[in-house]
Amino acid sequence: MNLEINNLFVHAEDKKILNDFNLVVKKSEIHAIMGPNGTGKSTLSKVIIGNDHYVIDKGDIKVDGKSIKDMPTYERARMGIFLCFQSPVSIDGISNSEFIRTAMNANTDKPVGLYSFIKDLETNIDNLKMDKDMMHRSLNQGFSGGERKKNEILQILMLKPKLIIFDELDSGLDVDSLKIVCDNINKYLKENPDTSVIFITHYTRILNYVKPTHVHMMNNGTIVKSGDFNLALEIEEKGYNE
Amino acid sequence: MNKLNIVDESKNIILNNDCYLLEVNKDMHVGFEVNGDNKLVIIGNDSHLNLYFLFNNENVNTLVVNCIGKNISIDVKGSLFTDSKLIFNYGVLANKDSINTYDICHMGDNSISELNNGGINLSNNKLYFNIDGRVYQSITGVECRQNSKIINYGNGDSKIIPNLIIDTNEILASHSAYIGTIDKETKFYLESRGLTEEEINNLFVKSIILGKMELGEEASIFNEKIKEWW
Repeated sequence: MNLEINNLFVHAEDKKILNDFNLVVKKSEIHAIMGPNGTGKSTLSKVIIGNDHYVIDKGDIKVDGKSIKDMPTYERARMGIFLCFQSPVSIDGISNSEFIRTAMNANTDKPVGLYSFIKDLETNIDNLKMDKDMMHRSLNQGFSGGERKKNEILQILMLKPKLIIFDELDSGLDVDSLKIVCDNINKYLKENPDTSVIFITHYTRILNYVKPTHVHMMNNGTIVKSGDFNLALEIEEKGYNE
Repeated sequence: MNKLNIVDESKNIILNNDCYLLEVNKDMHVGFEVNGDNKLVIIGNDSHLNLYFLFNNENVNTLVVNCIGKNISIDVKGSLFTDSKLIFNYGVLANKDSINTYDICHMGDNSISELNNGGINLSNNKLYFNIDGRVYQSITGVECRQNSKIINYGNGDSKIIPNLIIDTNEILASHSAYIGTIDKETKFYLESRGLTEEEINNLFVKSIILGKMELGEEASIFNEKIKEWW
């Protein structure tokens, strides 16, 4: 999936957040956006998926050449855009498996067969080293931070999106869980090579596991520097201020 | 599940280490004596239920009630003696007034009550949960918990009044109450997975009605009923 963001200006309430933001992500590319707190990184992820809390004042967001800026969130998701949340919500009374199957059915024309669904779900749960019981528990209810993140990855493996935005994926993940999660992401990208990825992160830790093709530094709502993985190493060494 | 047929409302029903199903379509008053480990599944429609639970004083007795209904209201009274445990999960979909009350008395050590209520207020009607948990003096090891949530789809009058009336020092007690619409953050999360507003509402109704219930063989009946009522 190709993503193109042109001259984007965004505000929420009285605050300007994105300020002439430009980004092109072509299919199969892995981009990392790094930057200090409060610079608009998470806002960017929410604007791409269409959170109506944020108002686009100017500019456009195009996917495969088509403008999506007036499209509702569910349509963007159905096109194959997936936001992996920093803090996924929990919902009582809806089992995890029921939620995933409902989402899968929403994203396809024909109903998902129960047998193939269970088979795929169990395989992916095993691969992510998740507790099988979590499938029958309420969505993210009582899950630890790491379990919630694994559950987001599980949804990726089941829903098979074409553009994935990871918002601070590494927060809440211990070293072992981070490796398991990244192994699964790498496997998914190998099996679905056209998938585009945006990592929003503060640290290079995760980028050592999933190597980005492009790295951008963001400040005050816009990209101020772009490069390859060496830029991430430079940021790690010198910080954002130099 | 053993299907209960209430013929004489003046006689108590004895629950004895089993799982029971009660379907209710008219106003009813039922008393239960609880022996051993039991589950009671209640499905109601357009009715008011007066339920009284008396726990046997001699053994460890547990009762889990999973009760759902459309346009029903309940009046629950329970006396919990030593080592008794009552988990009452209740979900109601209402477009008529539904005033629900609980009066749960902890009368013995190590007794536990957990009351989980979920309501969908569909119209301009009243939907109230009035919940009293009482713990008497000198009783120890008690847990008394209340969780209630109401989602308003119309401009109805929804109220949750949780009361913990406690006359002892050593107790674990808690209550939570939420009245509102579907919160924006949750809605956005579900939309970001490709769900439309209608699909989100369907999921949410189920979420509120079933709440913290751990469903067994009643799962398919409950799901069918919710689909039919919504």
